[in-house]
Amino acid sequence: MVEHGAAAPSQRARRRALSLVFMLVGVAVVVFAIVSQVNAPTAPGSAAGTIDPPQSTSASPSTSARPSASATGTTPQSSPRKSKSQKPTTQKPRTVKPRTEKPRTEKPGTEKATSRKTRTKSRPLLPPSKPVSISIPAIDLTSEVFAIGKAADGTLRAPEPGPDLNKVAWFEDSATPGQLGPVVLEGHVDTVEGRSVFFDLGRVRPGDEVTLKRKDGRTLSYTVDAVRSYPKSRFPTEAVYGGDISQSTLRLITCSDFDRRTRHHQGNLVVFGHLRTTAAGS
Amino acid sequence: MSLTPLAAQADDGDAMYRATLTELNGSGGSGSFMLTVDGDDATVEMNWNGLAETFKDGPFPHVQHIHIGGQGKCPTPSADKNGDDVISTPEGQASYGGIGTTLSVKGDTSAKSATDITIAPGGSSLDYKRTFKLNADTRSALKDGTGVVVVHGLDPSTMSKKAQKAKSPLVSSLPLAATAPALCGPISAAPTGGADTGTGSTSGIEHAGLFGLGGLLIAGGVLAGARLRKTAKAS
Ligand SMILES: [Cu+2]
Repeated sequence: MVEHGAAAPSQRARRRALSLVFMLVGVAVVVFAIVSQVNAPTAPGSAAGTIDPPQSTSASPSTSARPSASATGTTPQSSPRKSKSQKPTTQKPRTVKPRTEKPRTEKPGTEKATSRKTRTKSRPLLPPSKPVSISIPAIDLTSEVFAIGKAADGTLRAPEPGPDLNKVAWFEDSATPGQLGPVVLEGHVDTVEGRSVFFDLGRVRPGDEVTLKRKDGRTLSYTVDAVRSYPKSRFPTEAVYGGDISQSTLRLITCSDFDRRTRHHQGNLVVFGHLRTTAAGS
Repeated sequence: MSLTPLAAQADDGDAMYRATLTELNGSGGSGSFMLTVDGDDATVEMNWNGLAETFKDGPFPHVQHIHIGGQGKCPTPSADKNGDDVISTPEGQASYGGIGTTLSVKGDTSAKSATDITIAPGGSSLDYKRTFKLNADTRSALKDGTGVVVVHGLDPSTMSKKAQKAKSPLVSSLPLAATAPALCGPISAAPTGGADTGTGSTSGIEHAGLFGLGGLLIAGGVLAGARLRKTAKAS
């Protein structure tokens, strides 16, 4: 980079200019690199909400609640069932831009599905129809949704480089929105290109709304129950792919806990939710 | 099945299976199925609704099974060979196979109890949880992805006149409606492990290359400047 040999006085000015240009460009490049740093994604509070969707609005946990669903029993970080009156989050989670948590207001009528018997009979049935788009207003997220399956080794495939890389994927063996059981969706937190569609998923809080639009035009609204992070080695398969299958539930999965040493994400962030309303519309 | 508990653990220790049940023969029902394997045992959780409610003034019996040995699929309308607009249980067999396990509410869970309506769930909806010993055939079918959940029992009023009068091809004392499939769902294993949904590109330092390039440029400039000063002093 640096020229060698004795410099004639005429060359000196040129060299001085050159060295100055080098330094200026260098500084500019470094400044650009600093400015374009992206904040690491938000980690969820360790106890945001309860995973099990509400079973009952009346405070009678003994009547219809079946022996604590397998979901809670096997999840390493799940907190014990809390009564609805308790505030779901006690610890303030680390957030990039802290959002004030919406109070969980109980609207009469929206959760009238109380005992499992009456719910199963009153819940309107929807024929299967794949999700085509998702929106989470609380984090300004909207995305197309495409179907994805399992890889040959039995793991869930992730969106691959190409037009679908930064879209949300629906696991094709999971329920479609409005059917009984979990609708399982996943998205990248980041890719080699930088932040991806679920970058802000860790900022979602219990009570937030997630809407899914189906291919048949129906839009369904889900309410977030819990946001959890798990080490990948102890991923709660039963809670994520099963859980309470007596109603339509929602799971949003992305990566979490980046380990700088291994250069890999050590964990998965999972948002748990349940169906609130069925809008016939659109 | 397995020689040691350890082998069972390694084999399918935390295997979990799921199926979404959709209507057959226009039953109007839907449901969900979940099976977790724990050693030799299986725990089945099942919820469905929207099926025929009463039969001869009693709860409509809905025999239900894990079918095995077929293609692991649910039949399409073309499976109706005799043209009565109903896919009977035998007509669907090419798709979902024969009976591997009977999902009864109590007692025997083998294929022998397949049509025992006295231990079948009844009514229009079901909230079911039962743990039982899973037989080897069903277990291997689940692994192969050829297990299918089928719930039987149609509301006769939704069937064609011809089908309403027909007898069950399985149990001659029952009408076709009692044993014709009403819900069907191919069983699939839940994905193993978590999701691979990140590269870490936004964690730690991005554009490490740019920092390197910038650093090199600055160093180059400083070096060149230093040489200039030296030569200036020397002359
Ligand atoms: Cu059957």
